[in-house]
Amino acid sequence: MKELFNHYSSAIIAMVLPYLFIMFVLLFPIPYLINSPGGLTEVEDLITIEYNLDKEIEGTISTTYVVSIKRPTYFQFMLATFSPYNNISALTGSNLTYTNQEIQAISYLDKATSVNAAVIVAFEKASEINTEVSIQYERKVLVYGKAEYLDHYDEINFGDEFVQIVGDSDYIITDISEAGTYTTQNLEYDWTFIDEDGEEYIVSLSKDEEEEKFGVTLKTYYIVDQEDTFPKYQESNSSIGGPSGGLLQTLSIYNMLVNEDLTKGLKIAGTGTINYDGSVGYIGATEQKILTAYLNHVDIFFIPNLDDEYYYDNYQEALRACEEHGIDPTGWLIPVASFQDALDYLEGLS
Amino acid sequence: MKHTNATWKSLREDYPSAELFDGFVGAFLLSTVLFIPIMIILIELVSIYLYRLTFLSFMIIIALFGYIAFIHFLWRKSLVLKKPEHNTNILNLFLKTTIIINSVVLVLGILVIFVLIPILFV
Repeated sequence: MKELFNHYSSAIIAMVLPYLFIMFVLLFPIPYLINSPGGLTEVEDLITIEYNLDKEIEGTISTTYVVSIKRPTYFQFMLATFSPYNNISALTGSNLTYTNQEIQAISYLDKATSVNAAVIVAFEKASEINTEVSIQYERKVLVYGKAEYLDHYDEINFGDEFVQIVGDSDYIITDISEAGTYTTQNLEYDWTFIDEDGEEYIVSLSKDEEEEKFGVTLKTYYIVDQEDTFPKYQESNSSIGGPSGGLLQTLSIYNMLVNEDLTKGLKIAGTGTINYDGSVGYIGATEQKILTAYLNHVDIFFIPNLDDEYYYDNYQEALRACEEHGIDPTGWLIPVASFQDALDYLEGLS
Repeated sequence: MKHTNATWKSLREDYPSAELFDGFVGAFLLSTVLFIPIMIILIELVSIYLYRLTFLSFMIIIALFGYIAFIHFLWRKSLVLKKPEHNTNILNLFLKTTIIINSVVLVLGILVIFVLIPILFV
């Protein structure tokens, strides 16, 4: 070893500073967000249903993911500028206050709750024409956001279930909308949550003096009760987070539950969140999702279209992206406002 | 194979195990220090240009070929510096070893590209 190091000593010494500089450029994060095209994921790979197993599905239904890099390194930033397919913006809002790990945790929570919403909407729709299909679900209020001033910040995790608050005069608050009314007299209140392992825990939270809030954001979700649901389904582990696959997950699950094959041999993809009433919600990074669809040669791409007058309507954004990149949207870019719209479109195909 | 084994035996006769190991460690350390930024560059390329994943994965495999070859190059250099008057054809021996290891890297890389990556991106 010594001979080798002695032989190359001058080269090693000369390389120390450039090496440190290169490592700095490669590792030092900067507060930007890069979105770039990703790929397609077949929903069948994520969710399998023990039903209709001999049904032959000729085409594919896929969700679309993009690569979203929060706090890239200088080198990633430079790389991103070389391609018109990438979008660079400054980090803002919750992306700036949360760590990358926290953003990832929120993203996985979004994905998990989105799959539940997709299952609920698809099963309920399928049960209208297939009486064998039935679903039960329960309402849960989960932690979705944490302010910097939240007490016990590290003990409360994203996705923990809210149970109750012991409010003024020991009034038990289980409906979070009552929290403002019954937490005015004391400085601290006992909150009960259930963590991901099902363990209940109690923390005392106080309101921030400036904000006059506890600093925990709760969101209501409906979670499928697998015991009382037929047919059973299994969700594979996923490395891709976010709720934007909701619409396509709903379509694919519905397709697994009915006899007809909606795909008709086509490569179907799209984007859009799904709400419990079957309506579709907006998503981010539309341009990169359109480019992903284009690069993957999809036959049909569903995109949320709720208001043509709204500048950031996803369909309008998609049309602008197509124009910018010289892509003809005719025939494959399909605007939808609900799961029913997408279903009607596919059922209308010959 | 027989010839390769005989050459390894000859190398062990030329150099004690401690010297062989010492040469390898030095070569491994220097190559790894040089290779780390290259690997980070390739990973960051993948992160930005994920839609070129297959092509970039092949680039990573080629970079690994270079890494293995460079370790062997420096290992040989180290051994030659330790004992210039050796009797073994180290260049030939290490070339064969490099080709064998790189073949394994290629097979594993192809498995990663066509089996592991599709499983991971669900």
